[in-house]
Amino acid sequence: MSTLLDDPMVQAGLAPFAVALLVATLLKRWRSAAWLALLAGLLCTWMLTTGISFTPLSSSRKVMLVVMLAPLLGLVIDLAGWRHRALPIVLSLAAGLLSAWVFQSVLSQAEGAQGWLTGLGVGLFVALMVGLVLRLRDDGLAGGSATLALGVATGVCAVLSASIGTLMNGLALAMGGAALLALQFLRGTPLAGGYTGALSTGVASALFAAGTFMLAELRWPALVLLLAVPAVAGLPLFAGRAPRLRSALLAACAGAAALAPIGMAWFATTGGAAG
Amino acid sequence: MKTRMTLVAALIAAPLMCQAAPETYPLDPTHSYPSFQVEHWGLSMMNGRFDKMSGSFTFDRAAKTGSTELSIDAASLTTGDSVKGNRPQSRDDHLKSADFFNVKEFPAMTFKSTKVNFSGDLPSSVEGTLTLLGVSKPVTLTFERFKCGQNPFNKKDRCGGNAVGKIKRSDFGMKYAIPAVGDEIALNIEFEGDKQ
Repeated sequence: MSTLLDDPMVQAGLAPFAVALLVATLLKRWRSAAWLALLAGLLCTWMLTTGISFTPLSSSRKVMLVVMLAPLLGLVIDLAGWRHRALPIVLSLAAGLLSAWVFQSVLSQAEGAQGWLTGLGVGLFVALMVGLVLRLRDDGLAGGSATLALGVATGVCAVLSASIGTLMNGLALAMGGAALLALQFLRGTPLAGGYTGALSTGVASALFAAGTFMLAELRWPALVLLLAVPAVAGLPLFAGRAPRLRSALLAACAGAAALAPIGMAWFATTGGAAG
Repeated sequence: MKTRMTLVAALIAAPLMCQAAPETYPLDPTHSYPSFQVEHWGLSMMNGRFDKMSGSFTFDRAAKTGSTELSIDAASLTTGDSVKGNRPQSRDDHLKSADFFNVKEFPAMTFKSTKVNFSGDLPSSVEGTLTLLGVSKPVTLTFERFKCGQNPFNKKDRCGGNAVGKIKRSDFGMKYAIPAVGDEIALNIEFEGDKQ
């Protein structure tokens, strides 16, 4: 059993998928609460790999902490029924600002204006990613497709940029997205993620990617191209199709968009792109 | 007569007083490297080292006291696999990432002694605090050799040796890929320095 749980394919693939599917199935009657499955999948992977610890509070651990708290904030918003038009903008900007705190220890070591410029760029990326994913909050199929594709894209970009830990985080997120898509596919009815799901996906994928940029070797162009995934998933595509067909088509489109950042990361890795 | 006795006593005591003075040796950067060894997939023991280390060591042979402070440049890590070629990453790139040494966030590792133990008039081990990834833990390094002589080029007194010890990387929060990449790390610090 121990050998099985030491297998990376189990740690970042099978186990988070199974846990996410179980949690989503158990919570589906409470609508967006089912999207806590994404957090459950990530927690499963973390428990099986590095464990969960917050001391000292390094950037990686701050990422873990924020990724854990984001869906809980989303759940509170969903349960309270807050629907103010400015809320997605406020949440996106807050996530962008929070990224400065998350990576403060790295940014503070940069010389001159470099730290400010990098922090500004990363903050903008995080805000845009969270904003784009929040647009999908009422469309469970688009949200699931974006989660699956973003997880794969951030994970593969990470392994191409010397971070296998983030590859596993990305794959765990993707497995959660796959579990939620599978549940919707099997039920034949969409299950909107609400703020719970959108903040889970948006914050996790943004911070995993930003972490790979800050702490490993991911380049700017690949980071920016990751935004294409939620942008494509948010296009008004296949609106009249049956949910099962639409979920497959949306996943294919989001997956195709994920090839752009992966291709750029690969191009940078093999020496073609400027750093 | 009394003056003569005092003079004789002073002459006898002079070399002893000189010996009792603490001696400080800044590290020679070209002959001072920390290296490490870790088990890989339960098979081989892989070696790596850090090319840049700074600091000094001080000891007092008569008083049998001493101290040392070392700072290791984490980004100077090398395991002999730094060119990635067409691969996604080299082993050195991966070891420098947040999965392991997280060099962008924690650019330096430090060791600060708390006590130096002696065997004869030379240090035999040093107890201290190793700070890695922002976590400080007590570590004891044993001197496999500690010898002093003369630098043949500048004729200065010179000491050097090898200090060995073991740590568990998980104690410092470096938990990625355990047990595929072993938890126990064998340390070997080679050092030399001319007397200041």
